[in-house]
Amino acid sequence: MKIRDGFIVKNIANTNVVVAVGDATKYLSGTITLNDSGLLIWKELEKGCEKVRLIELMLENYDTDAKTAERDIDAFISTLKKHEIII
Amino acid sequence: MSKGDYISLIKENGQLVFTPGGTSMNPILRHHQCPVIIKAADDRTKLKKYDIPFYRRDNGQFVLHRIIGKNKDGFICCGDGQTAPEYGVREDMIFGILVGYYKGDKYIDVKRNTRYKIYSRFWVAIRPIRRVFAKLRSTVAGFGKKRED
Repeated sequence: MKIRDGFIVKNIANTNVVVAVGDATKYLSGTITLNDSGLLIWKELEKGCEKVRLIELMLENYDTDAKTAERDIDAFISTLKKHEIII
Repeated sequence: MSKGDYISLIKENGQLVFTPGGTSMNPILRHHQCPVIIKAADDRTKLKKYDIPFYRRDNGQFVLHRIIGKNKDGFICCGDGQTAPEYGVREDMIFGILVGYYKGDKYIDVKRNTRYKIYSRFWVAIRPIRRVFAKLRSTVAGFGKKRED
């Protein structure tokens, strides 16, 4: 899984916001806001990775269990897939 | 997200971030290249010349153009990439004001960036000259087309 080209994260007024530029604007006309864990996952997805790596990342950085991490990651990935942000 | 959501988003969050399309604000806002930050306009917002309001025309179209003047009918606006002014932009049409935009990785704060402020004043001042050049260009292009025909 990888973030499609044309999606960038900007920190605006202490909020991490995903915006689309260029051809990617056909997939997302507005923005998506990322919290800290969302940003962590996003940065990993920018490099390209599998879900198992994202779960590891959450377990390394947050006080959570694998099942909860996987559920949260699935929800996040589902949002990104809905807007065709992930390829 | 539909464009109609822009208004509800800006009212809920106090700001809106998106990447506008079109060429009417060239050279500063290139088509789908420059994310913009729009701050919600309220009763305290005092719009003035050179500001760039985010407004919705009576036909429903959303626009981000620069204020170049004001008369009894409202603000007079014009895109930086255009020369013909738009009259009658009323305060009730305006939902936000541009506070900054990204040019690549660089953030341009329209209130603080000196080069931007100089550009905006200069660009508006030379609008009559730009208009002459635009007409000349279209005349030459039309002449070229006639010769081809």
